[in-house]
Amino acid sequence: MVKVENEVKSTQNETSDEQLIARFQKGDNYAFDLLVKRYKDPLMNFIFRFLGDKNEAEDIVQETFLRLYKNKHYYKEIAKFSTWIYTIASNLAKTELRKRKRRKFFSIHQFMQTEKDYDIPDDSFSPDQQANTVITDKLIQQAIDKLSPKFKQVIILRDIQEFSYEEIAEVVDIPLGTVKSRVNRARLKLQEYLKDLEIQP
Amino acid sequence: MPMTSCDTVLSKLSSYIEGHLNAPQKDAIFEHLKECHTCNRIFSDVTNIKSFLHRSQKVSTSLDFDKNLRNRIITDGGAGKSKAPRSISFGLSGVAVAAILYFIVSTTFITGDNQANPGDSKMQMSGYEQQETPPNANSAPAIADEKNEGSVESKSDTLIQKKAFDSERINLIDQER
Repeated sequence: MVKVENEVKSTQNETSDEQLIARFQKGDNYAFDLLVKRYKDPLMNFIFRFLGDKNEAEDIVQETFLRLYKNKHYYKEIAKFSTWIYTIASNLAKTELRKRKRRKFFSIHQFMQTEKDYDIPDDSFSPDQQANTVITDKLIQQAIDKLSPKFKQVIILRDIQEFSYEEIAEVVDIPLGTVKSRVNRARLKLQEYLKDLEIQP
Repeated sequence: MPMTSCDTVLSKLSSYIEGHLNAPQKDAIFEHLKECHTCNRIFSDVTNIKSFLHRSQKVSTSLDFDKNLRNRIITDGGAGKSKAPRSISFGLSGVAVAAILYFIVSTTFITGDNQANPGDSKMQMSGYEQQETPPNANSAPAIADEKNEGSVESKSDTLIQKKAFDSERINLIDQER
């Protein structure tokens, strides 16, 4: 009876991620399309918050799906599919951040203009000079950009993507206690950056 | 009841906000927040920031996302396409083959004077020059014009010939890949 119910559920577009990836591994490309539809916006939101640049974020999300397409057989049902795909996206984003740092170090930006200039953290962001300013999405993103990658990653996954601590621990591959500690410290740092602003619930 | 320090309260703030503490710990922090204005302010701000992040504007992919992804898969993600390490080794072997061929050809013609049949080597040299002449015939004047460097000397012609020959070789390696 349970099996029948599950089959009915499947036909009613409530197929689980794990079922979709299994079908994709067997050659069903439509299953891949469904996974893209499900995850492209959540991944985009995560990566955008992490990198602070929409174009780069979209590039990373595309690369994530490209890797899924090419390496579908690497997925094993030991972990949740969502954990797996977020791990890929997260690692690509961290690599991009490292590249950005190297580019900044060797930058010849002052000698030539390029169309795709990377985002430089806004040094003009000074909350102490913006007292009584109401917090906005832009200001909070600027504060997030100031966090180090290890804090950025966990706070976005926890407070924006609403991952559980256990899921974050799997994605980031750190102990549960470390996740909780980093989330707490990230929140305290954000509070420090934004303390002079009017933070309305 | 022992006083709870600000450091202890702040280190457990998230757990307190999310309800992960046991009753005695919760009570201790509650009492501290009643008395400590600074910690209470931090607690209030963190709660509000958390709530703000939860409700923050969600960013979506562009309208061209699906189309661009499809194109990327077609050009780069075909099933069975060789992975980077394999293509690098194949490319390296192609480079090695090209280098060996270049070495053989160059040494064969450069040492042409010492060969048993100088006539043949001369023909080969002519063939070599002939092979290189067409690029030079068209390109040298064009390059000279483009660069606007005045008269083109014979030595620079030779360098241009060599460059044209090298770039042909590079294209070949790419074709071999």
